[in-house]
Amino acid sequence: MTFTSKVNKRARPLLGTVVEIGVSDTEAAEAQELISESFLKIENIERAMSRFDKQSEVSQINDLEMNGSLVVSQQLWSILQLSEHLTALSRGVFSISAAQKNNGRILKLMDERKVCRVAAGSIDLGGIAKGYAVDQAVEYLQSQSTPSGYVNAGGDIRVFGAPHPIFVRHPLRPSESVVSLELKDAAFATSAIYHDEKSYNQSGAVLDPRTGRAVPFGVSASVMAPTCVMADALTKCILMLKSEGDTLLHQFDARGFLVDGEHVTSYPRTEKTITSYAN
Amino acid sequence: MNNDWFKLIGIPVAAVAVAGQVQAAEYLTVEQAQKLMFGESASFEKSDIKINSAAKKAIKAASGVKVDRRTLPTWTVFDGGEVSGYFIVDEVIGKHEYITYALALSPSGEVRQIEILVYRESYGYEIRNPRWRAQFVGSKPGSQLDLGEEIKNISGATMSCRHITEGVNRVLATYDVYLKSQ
Repeated sequence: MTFTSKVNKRARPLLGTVVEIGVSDTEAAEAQELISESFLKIENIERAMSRFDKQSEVSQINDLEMNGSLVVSQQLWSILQLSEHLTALSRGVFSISAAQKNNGRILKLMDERKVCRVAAGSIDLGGIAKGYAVDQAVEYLQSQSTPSGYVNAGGDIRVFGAPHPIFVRHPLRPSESVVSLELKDAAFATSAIYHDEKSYNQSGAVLDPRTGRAVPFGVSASVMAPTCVMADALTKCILMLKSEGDTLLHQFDARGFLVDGEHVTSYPRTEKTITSYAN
Repeated sequence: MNNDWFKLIGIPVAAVAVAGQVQAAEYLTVEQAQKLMFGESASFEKSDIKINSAAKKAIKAASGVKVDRRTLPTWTVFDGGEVSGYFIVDEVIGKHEYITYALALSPSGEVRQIEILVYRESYGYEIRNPRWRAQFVGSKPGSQLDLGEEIKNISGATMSCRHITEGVNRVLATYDVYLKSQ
């Protein structure tokens, strides 16, 4: 039975969080090798997408002068294409442009993996890189016929093979779980600001790129989707679009819920969507 | 589309306001990490670094990180009669987490690899709560309830590796003081 089999797992500090990779139903030495290779994939993605590493592809893009162009790797190209697609579908809610005021695109995607700067500003793939890296690692493990495993990048998780139980924190009281679910051959992500209001005001708020305003404190959005990159991107769409995001969820075969104070609302919306879980 | 793909858990605040329950994930033992990072043929000679108070100040000045522990567990690694690097076990404490990690350094002090050995999080109060635990009962027929495994997949955790980054900077400054000249 898969549940009782030994899981080989390791964790490393990567992508600004702790990334855990687990492989089960595989002989230990082989599992360790698979895990090492998967970490290597993630490290390569991190290197290419870092805004802080001056040599990275993303830094090279951000250093482009107006109308300057650059041929990027196949990997970055597919991320930029996916980002552009998501930006269009979400009507600007999802955006890789770090400059909040810029409604227009910073980059134009040309032919043959060539990108051209068309406006001032810089790109930040933070909203998409983590999910993309999780997907790449999972797809690598699957390509090696690994029967069962998971990759968890600080709560952005994708599992394959055996199901995994997942718990979602209360956005205001992180010692409490609001929701439990079982994840099987799917990805799951949550976006919110946890911990105290003070640190929220100081830093990492989720910003609505259309207004530059922070999403209210005490609200979290979770999404289950076939891939982690979609789950992660769609959490931001739910936080900002609320029920307008239904179309997006349908389109990507995803479902999610919003935790706001003491209420949980599931998306896409149905007749029975708002549930108070207090008491 | 229905919404029974997830379960709601409501826990009264009073029930979870109990102290001290900790969830931990153990990834590798020291020996496993040593073999993984330096290979089967390497040998390890324990050579702990004892940090004196002058060095503490120098390390703080160089890395910006306070030195809390006087001893840094360190192994000099030999392979084929040569020093092939250093294996160091360090600990960092964050607001909600406590992490033990291993660092593989080259002889010249470059970071080759970082592996987390143990990750403890100080939130896991839920596991003391019977209602919370009841969520698992019957969810996996025939399986042993292994809380250590069950509680690890918590979505929405803002796990940060900032403290590990600080720890690594502190260890590298310690290398400069004690190992560089060797």
